[in-house]
Amino acid sequence: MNDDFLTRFRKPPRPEFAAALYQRISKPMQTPMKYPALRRMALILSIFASVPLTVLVFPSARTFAQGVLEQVGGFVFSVGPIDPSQVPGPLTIVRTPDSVSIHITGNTVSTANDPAEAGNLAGFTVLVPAYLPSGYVTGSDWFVIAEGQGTVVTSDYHDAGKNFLFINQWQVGAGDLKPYNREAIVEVTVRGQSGVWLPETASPNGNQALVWEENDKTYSLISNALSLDEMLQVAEALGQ
Amino acid sequence: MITKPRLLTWLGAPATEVDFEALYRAELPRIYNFFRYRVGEGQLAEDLTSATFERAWRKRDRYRRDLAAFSTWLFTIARRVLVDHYRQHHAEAPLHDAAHLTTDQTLEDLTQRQADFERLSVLLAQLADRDRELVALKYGAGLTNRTIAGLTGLSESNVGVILHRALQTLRAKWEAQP
Repeated sequence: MNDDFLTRFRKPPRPEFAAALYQRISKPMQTPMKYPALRRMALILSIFASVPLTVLVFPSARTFAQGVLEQVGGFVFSVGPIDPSQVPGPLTIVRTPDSVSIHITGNTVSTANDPAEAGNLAGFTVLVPAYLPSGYVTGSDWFVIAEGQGTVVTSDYHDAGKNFLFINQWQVGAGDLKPYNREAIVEVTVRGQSGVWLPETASPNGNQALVWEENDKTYSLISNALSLDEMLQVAEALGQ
Repeated sequence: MITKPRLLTWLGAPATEVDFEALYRAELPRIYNFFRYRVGEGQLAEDLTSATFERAWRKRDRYRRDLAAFSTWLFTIARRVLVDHYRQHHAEAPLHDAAHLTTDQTLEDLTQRQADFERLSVLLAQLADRDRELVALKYGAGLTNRTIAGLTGLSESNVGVILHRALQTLRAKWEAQP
């Protein structure tokens, strides 16, 4: 027995099998690409993009914020428009009926299969919710994003419909304050920490968020559908 | 700012942009034979091959040309497909897959070549799982030791040593059986 003996048992796949498989996977190849991953990425990263999007889409908004209402971790919340030059957000999402465009300024994204791998990539312990609202399941990937001088780990959860929940865990880098403009800001207590609840607004993204700082990390939960109580339940259930 | 086309490259160009059809034609026999050497002849090898390409297509946006050759990426998926298969079918552990195969059953009905492969499958199933995987990657898929090392996390020299010993084991058992 030698190498040749072992390799001579190779054989080509049956032609009908090869053809059928190719036909099966080539169908989606021939349909217009709908950028499912991009769309998901756009949703996942929407919290980083909502302010720059507002500013870019609505030029009239380009005046400086009149007053800072709250700072939570890396986020500075204000009521009123924000000067785009003050917006360090790395991502801008522009949606049209036919496409999703994402503009990025020099960040890198890695994917991880589980929280442990994400934590290794990010350099900090990643928390996982022990509770999810009814019908919600864990998404397939963990995204580790270089954000300014820091790092964000994002995980996505969704129900059978189109409702989603993103959990962002941000190790804020020096000078990475991110201004945010919302129409209403509600101060809340999350896991014993001061935080804010951002109800859904008429912003292009139309999402609501719960944000707090804990152990030098800025946590944000973003959803298009969950209530404050449901978000708080998820937040309280975060653990290693 | 980086616009969408640049983003696609940056995140990993989808396989449509790298001629998926050509890649499919080149890689299908390698993936298929990898599975044949892992689980033996039959429908299962085709099913796992299908699952690999279907998963690759679904995840095509994650393929990063700057990190890995397409074949390496594809074999990473193939290995995960196999692990998933064994997790879902605990009763069909690698050894059990071929345990029902005996050369006595097949020699009369199959061609000599088919019978030899069945006989080889029995011997492969007796190897440690890691060794069988390396044999499948090397002799089924035709990957180089360096590529196998990259896939498995072993050093290139370790891959060579393990394959050499596996080959010796197979040879001894093959020659011990008339």
